[in-house]
Amino acid sequence: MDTSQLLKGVLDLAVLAVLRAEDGYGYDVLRRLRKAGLAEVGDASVYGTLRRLYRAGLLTSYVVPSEEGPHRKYYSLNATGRERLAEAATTWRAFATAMNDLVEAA
Amino acid sequence: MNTTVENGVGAYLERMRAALSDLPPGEVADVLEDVAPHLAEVAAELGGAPTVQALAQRCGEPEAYAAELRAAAGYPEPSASASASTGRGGAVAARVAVWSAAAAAAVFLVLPSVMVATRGHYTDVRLLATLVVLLLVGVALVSAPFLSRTSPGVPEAARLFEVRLALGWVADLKGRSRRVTSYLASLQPAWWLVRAMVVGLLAAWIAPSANQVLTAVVVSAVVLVPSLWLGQRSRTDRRWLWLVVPANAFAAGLCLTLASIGSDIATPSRQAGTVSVPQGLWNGGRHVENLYVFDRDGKPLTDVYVYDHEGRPVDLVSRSCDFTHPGEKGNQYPRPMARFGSDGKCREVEGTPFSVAIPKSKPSSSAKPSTSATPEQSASGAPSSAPATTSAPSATSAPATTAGR
Repeated sequence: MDTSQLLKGVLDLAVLAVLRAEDGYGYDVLRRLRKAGLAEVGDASVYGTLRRLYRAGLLTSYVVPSEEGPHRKYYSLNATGRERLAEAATTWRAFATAMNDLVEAA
Repeated sequence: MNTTVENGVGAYLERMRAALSDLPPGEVADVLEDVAPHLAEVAAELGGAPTVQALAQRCGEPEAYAAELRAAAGYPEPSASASASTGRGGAVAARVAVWSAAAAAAVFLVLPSVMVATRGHYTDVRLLATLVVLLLVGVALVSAPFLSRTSPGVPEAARLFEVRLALGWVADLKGRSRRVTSYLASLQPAWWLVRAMVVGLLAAWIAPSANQVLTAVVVSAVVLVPSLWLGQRSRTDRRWLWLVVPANAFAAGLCLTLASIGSDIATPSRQAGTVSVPQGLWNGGRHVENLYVFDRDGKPLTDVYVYDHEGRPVDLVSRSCDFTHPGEKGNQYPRPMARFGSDGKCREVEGTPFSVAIPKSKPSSSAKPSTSATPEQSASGAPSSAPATTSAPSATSAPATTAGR
């Protein structure tokens, strides 16, 4: 099954989850997602998702100068973002349980 | 980090900026802030100095990257304001614009060969020039409304089926032989130089001018500036391709034609024993168009008959106003020379366009008589006007005379 199709629906949740523990800049978020096992996640999709969540008011951002290369724009979860993450996590767990049951029964 | 890295990454970001140019500038800046560290990382992995092409091989073309990001971010489609109302009309306009440019490019590619084939028929060259202008105006009329509406990435055109097919084919080619394509891509600035030089050569060929080398150099230098500018500009703003692609096709056609002429001259004739090719007389590698004979006092002789070492009459291939029959003028010299006046009309001018000083002391030695050619004033000026004289102090300058016939 094509993972990229599945990713589309859950990328918001994945990005929010990755930012829960620690703030991160775009490339950082991408690396954490891939390290967590989402190898097929596209970089442009992640940066697009970050911008969408930011504009939806779920993230705040701040810039940190980098010694080598361009400065880095860090994103962090704000209160609204944490709320949304909790909701989405609940929805996901219910969905995942239902899917697991379905797949197990098959 | 050296400047090349900055350039490759910078150019990639610039093309992304162009592709996202319909968004608010602040939003675009935020997006690029996210992407820049990513590209810096990729650049470091690629050895520190990747070109845009190398980056594109890793991350995809900047426009595709921007499109993916746009979809994930939920930004409106580019030109949504323009093509949402027209809908299908946007695609039609894009298709017409793309195909008109492609057709113009095809015509421009073969045009130089046609021009060479009709060389000598001056009216035909003018007809061709008129056709070129009409074609350019046509493409401009068809494409301008579309190009003025679209964004620098020209997304409507990029979405067309045939364009995606062509781009896919190019990407496939790139993937198969990366070394070759990246090498070719690195030659791009050299091409910007070559196409300017080719236009200079064309100008020297068409324009009736005394100093063709000077014409070629000056025109090349003048054309070089827009050539470099367009080369850089069209990398980020794809709308310029509507001008660049037909112009490149024309330059490429000129190059091909020049190459074929060059190989014709370079290839020795297969029938070298019977027919002497090239025709005419050559002096120091240059084609001799006319012969001027002077007596020991530097006085120009007229109505001289010239024969070679075998007693054959020397018949030169001269320029004359009768373009259809060059040569076949007999062996009487000097011949009248064809000149184009300021009104563009061809006139046959008689007389000697320069004067010589024959050294008195050593008439047969290696000392060459000094010559001084005048610019082509004789075409428009009075035929009896005295040309520049020589610098030799002892010389009696011989004014140009008009041979009365």
